[in-house]
Amino acid sequence: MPDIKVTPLGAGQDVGRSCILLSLGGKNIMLDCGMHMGFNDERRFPDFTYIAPEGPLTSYVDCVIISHFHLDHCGALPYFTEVVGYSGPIYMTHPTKAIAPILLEDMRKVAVEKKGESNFFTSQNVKDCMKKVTAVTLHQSVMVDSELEIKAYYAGHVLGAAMFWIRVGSQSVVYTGDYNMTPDRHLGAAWIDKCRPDLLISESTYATTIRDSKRCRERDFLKKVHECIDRGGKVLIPVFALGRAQELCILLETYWERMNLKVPVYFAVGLTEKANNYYKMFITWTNQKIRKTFVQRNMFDFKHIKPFDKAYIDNPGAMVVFATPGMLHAGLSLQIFKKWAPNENNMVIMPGFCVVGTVGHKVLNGAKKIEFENRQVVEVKMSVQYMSFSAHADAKGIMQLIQYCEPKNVMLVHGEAAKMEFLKEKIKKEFSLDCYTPANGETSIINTSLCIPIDVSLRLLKAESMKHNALPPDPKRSRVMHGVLVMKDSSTCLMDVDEACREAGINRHFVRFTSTLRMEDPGPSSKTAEKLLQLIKARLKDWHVQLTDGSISVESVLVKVEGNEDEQKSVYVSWDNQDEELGSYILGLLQTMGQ
Amino acid sequence: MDSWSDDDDWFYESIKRYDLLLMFDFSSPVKFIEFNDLDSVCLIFEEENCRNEMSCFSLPKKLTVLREHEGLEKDSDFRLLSGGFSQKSVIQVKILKGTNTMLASEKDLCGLSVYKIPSENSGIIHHTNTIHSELLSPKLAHNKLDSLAMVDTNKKNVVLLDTKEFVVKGKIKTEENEEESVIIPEFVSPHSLGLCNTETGSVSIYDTRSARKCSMLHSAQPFPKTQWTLSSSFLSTSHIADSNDETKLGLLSTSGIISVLDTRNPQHTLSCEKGKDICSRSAKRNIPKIQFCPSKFPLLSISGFNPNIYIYDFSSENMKNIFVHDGHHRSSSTCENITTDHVWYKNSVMSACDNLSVHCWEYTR
Repeated sequence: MPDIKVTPLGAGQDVGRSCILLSLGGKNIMLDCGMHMGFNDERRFPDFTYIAPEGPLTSYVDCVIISHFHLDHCGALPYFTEVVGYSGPIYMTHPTKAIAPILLEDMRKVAVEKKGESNFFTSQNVKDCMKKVTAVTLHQSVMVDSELEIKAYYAGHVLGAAMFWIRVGSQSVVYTGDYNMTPDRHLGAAWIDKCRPDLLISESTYATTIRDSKRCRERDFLKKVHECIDRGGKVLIPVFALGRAQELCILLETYWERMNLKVPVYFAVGLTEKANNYYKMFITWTNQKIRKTFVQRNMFDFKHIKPFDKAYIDNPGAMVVFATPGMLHAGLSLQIFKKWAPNENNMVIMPGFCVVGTVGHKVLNGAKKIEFENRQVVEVKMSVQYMSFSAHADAKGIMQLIQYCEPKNVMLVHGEAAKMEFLKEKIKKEFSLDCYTPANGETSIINTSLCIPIDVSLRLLKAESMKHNALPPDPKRSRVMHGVLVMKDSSTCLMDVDEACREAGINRHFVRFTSTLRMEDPGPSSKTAEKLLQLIKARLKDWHVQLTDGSISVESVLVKVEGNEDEQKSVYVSWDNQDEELGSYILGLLQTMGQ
Repeated sequence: MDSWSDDDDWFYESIKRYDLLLMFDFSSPVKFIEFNDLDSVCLIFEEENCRNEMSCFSLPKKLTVLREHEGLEKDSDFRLLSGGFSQKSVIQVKILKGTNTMLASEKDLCGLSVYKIPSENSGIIHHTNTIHSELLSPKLAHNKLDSLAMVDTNKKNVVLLDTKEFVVKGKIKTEENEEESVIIPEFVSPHSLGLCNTETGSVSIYDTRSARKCSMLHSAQPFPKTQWTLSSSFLSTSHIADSNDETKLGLLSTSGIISVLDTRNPQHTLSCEKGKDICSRSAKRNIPKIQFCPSKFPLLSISGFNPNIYIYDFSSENMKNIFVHDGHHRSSSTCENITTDHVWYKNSVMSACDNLSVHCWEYTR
């Protein structure tokens, strides 16, 4: 049976780096190429030696698929192409292709300029890498080569995130990447059709989590902001240009309007320009409400949220500011932070992950004093809040996805084996599906049944149908078609014998088998024939058995009895090759009777 | 799935009403909530094909950390630690804290099923053995130390099980008038077991060491066609040393009547609530639940009548409803959902409803 092989790459128990090797139908596909943000050395990259110990990897990997622009899914891609040397096809959605280089460059800057790392990919590496990328559209079937086909499905989660369906021959796999089964304020919910893949691959992090509702996390955010501005404090929200900033702005705008709040809310101008452009370009990737709103007005044309000016930093009184970059490692957000941190009435809300070494990471670890390059020391008395707004599916979501696409097997990657035991049992109980949970570096082999789709000739179908309908109805009776499998060019068709002969341009030959039995039965041969008729009728109740001109016939099988009254009778049994089974059975029956 | 416009008002108002609010949706309704230790909780879900799924989750860090550090903690999710399925439909469970052992009274089982909650190497909650007894699907009560009381519908005896050795260590013969009624047991102190007559609301207190009846308490308001249940303040305290001072007994009827009594002064009702505001539907579906707040505040909570949890202050004779958690059904239209269980965790409450929701919340005092 053909197998599917899956190897999650990585080292140890890490869950922060997605990179999965998939082999099916002789093709090797890399699913995501993420970086582990917690490590500063080679451990941050996937261990590519699993693919091949040495030599160019292009010959071993038929294509790379990137699900979305988060760095734990694409952060190692420039390294893979420009340092390791992969030069094969890379696929991702259009928004991912547009946004990934921005995040890669941001990350590179932090690593090199802030942390002083030398062995890192360069800006040029990022640009060269992205030149190799082919962008795909949702639901568009893309042939990587003559055998390997891929298709992207909407995943929600972030702008441009996709789940990928991959097919080679009759085998198919769906890789989810990160996805979200419930819509949020600017993105829709993940969706996939009932594609019935041989295997569904998902991150196990989600399968073992029950997520707190998004409304509660938003409520927590609004509560913290409101409490801060109520005491006259200022709220700084460092954000990335793209991602949750838009979501939080929509949230605050709605709240401010409902509560009739007058405290000013600002966003950094650079944030809005870039975001606006990308949302305009990829409006079809947002949800219906956003699309409808955008037709009427600009994405950032809010009533209560206005562009920020640096001069406002020292304004008295409460305010809320969205500023980039998201990890407080440079730019406006850091400038504002330095001014506001010493005031205990103020607050900073970190809505995302911060790389080690950044000011964001330090404050999240409780640092009360931050020293900068110019020996400036800033006391951190402001309240520090860490919130997660990422839109991930959870255990309930993965069960829903399994229901949607009806895979034949499920695989959960990047998880602890012990914790997966119960989940495997639950998936088995609920869906009767096998669930695989390979450790990083461990290969799972999934057996799939070979399924070759063929055409069937209408004539053959009609003939079988007539035969089936002529018999009394019986839902348990199997429906069997006898035909000839004709492979012509690239099509395969089951057709009846005559059609096949015509197709092949050959004459049909008939083969008839004859066997002779000796039987002791005194009396006329017609009487012997009568006895044999009753016997055959009794055994072949569903068949049309008749006696005509002294010969018993069942389909093409003929039984003829010859001999005088006192002589041993000769029973001739003959049949066409297509009734081999029936003929052999009747022969055996008569032989037994003869004995 | 949230409806943005319908829920907005409720969530905006909740900003002032709650210090903490976490909401979760599961794929099956939760039947029982039992804390395993300070950091984890076991949820037993409604049965499917006569078996219940039992899952152990780590508690969200936002719930467990000290309030002053809550801001630096972004984790607000349940994480699955282990899971399994019961042998039969679960009637009641008790977790023996610190031993990773769960005892379950199950339908049609004479005795108890024992389940092991794994700690490290396995993710399966598995059935280890059955403690056989003559009691069919018994009701359970645990004194937080080493005794488990079991009572069944035969009501001839209360069996006391040593939870360290899993052997029967004593029996209490109930009095004649109790043999005809349904009895619910609950410890009111480490060695005092209360047996509540569900029809009359009267509670007989037995000393488990001598197997003798010490006293009897009655609810203030006998009410026809109601069922009663009880809880004690002893059960809510986390430290045994503090428990000795805890002497409150709470009685709750399916008509919404709440009585708080002091076991040292059985004739006097400390506080009472006549339950005018609660619509009683629990007789058809659930037995309602009453719980005392574990902190020093004179607070108790009730559930099982509708989708809400009610918190009362019983510091005066006229009990006062001070908070209603109505998050399980945020619409003002009538709703057929009912809360299935609720428990206190420090100053927060964890509540479950049959609409698949589980909430962790702390109202603003």
